[in-house]
Amino acid sequence: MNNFQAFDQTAFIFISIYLSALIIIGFFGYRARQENTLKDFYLAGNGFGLAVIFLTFYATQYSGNTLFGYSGMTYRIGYSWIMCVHFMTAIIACYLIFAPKLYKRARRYNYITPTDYLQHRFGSNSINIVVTVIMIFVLSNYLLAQLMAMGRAMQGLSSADPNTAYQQGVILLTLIMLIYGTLGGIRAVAWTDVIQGSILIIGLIVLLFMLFKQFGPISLATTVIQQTQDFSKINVPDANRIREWISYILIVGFGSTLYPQAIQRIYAARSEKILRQGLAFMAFAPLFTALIAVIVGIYAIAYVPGLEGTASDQALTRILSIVQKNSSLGYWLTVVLYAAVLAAMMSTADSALLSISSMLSKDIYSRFVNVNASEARLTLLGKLFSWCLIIILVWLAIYLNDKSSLLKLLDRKFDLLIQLVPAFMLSIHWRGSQALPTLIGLIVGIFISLCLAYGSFNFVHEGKIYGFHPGLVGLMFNLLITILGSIFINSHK
Amino acid sequence: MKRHYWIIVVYIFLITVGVPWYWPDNINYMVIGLPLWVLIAIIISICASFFTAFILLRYKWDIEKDVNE
Repeated sequence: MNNFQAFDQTAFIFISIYLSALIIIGFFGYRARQENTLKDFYLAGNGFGLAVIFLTFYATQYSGNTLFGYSGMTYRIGYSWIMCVHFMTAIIACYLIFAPKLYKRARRYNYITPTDYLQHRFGSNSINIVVTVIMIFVLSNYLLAQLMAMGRAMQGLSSADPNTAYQQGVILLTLIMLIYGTLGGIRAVAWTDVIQGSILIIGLIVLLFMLFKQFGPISLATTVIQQTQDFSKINVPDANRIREWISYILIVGFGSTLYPQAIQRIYAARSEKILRQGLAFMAFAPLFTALIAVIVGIYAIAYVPGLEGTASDQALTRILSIVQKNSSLGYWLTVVLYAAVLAAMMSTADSALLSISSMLSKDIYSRFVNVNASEARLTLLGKLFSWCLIIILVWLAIYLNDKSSLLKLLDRKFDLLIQLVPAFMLSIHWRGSQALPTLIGLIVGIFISLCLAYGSFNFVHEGKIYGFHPGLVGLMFNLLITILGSIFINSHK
Repeated sequence: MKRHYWIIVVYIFLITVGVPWYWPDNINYMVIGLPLWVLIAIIISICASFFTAFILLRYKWDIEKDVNE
């Protein structure tokens, strides 16, 4: 980060215009509202068309983790992290399992939050509260990772002291996000996603061009790595890494589809055809996003050696700093890319925040505190909840600066999210699935996952069991309890 | 969308070929400057993207039928 050349005033004006545009879009989102209801605020009434659905899926799914975390992970383990292209593709394949049926029910029964489906399917408050708490916890974790990534991005942007720049970045960008999110709800979030997603796609393709121009083909970078004798980053992965690869395909593939904001985007498509087409476009997104992040990491191994620990998450910033110094074209392309990086983080964070807000107001307040609350009141409360939560998360993001690698935060949330597979995916296909075993399976699955992840066991290395995520072990028990318990209950009816 | 089990078979095949479990440890073929196993992983990923897009665009989701079930 120290090698980074701070942007001049013109670049700051460019980025300021971009950030101001987000607030203006929030205002337009506010003006476009049709009624003061939860459906209008969280799902934009009748839903979005193809371009918005694709870009909002894209901008939400590809985040600060993708750009910083994936290039950093490639820096640490080398070409093996190409597995990220596989697991990001697996997400879209996993949507095929339940999105068709869920979309149909959402349109017919006017679902707003993910647990609206569970309420309709099981009619159990216990499942709802447990699932809502898990989702809010996971999303808060996810949001925290994005806030920290925003701070790191600002460190690279500013010539100020790194700690000050980090704190300013977290506070300023969060404030902008809050303003447009509060004003326009899902409309503002999705419309800003259109800008953010477009900038991100263009920025990454431009980055690829810049890398080739600056450093030559990737084959040259591979040769440079070979010359350093660090063959572990080029060689075929060992057996443990192969198991990890398969584990990531399963846990991210299934887990990511169960993000509350992802489920709400399924609800928000205007038609079944639009949703299918949007997901079809998304199937190619890993090729021009995750793959480019891996390529950045490979160039960083070759040309920016010596980054250790959490500093390896700065692989992207270091590579950008080299490109930036090379020419004025490189400088301006870096400015655009910086806007793209900020866009990636903000678009993911705003969706997570909006989703949390909808669950706090509808699933908790409306269901357990005040069942007669009007929709206008619930919408207002949702906004207030999101402001309160974000204050806590901003404090945590500042407190945790440099205390945790981005990918460690990423790993644990999937261990929890994947436990929701029986509740959503199994129950939507199997009528025999019962509420009580689903709930017990979910709790046992989470308990086992967390014990394995945080306990000290000889067979757990770097939070994984022979390369497999603890969440997958938890899911096996979870599924077993749900299936056997449901069969038992059905046979005694 | 009807249940097409062959889709699952295709995905299992793609994972089986795409994950480089079958390569010996001490051999590292390079093709166009990239390790061959990396190249295969990328090609399989491109195939998976096209296949997923094909499935999504080819088969409609039979909304009314499923909800009435």
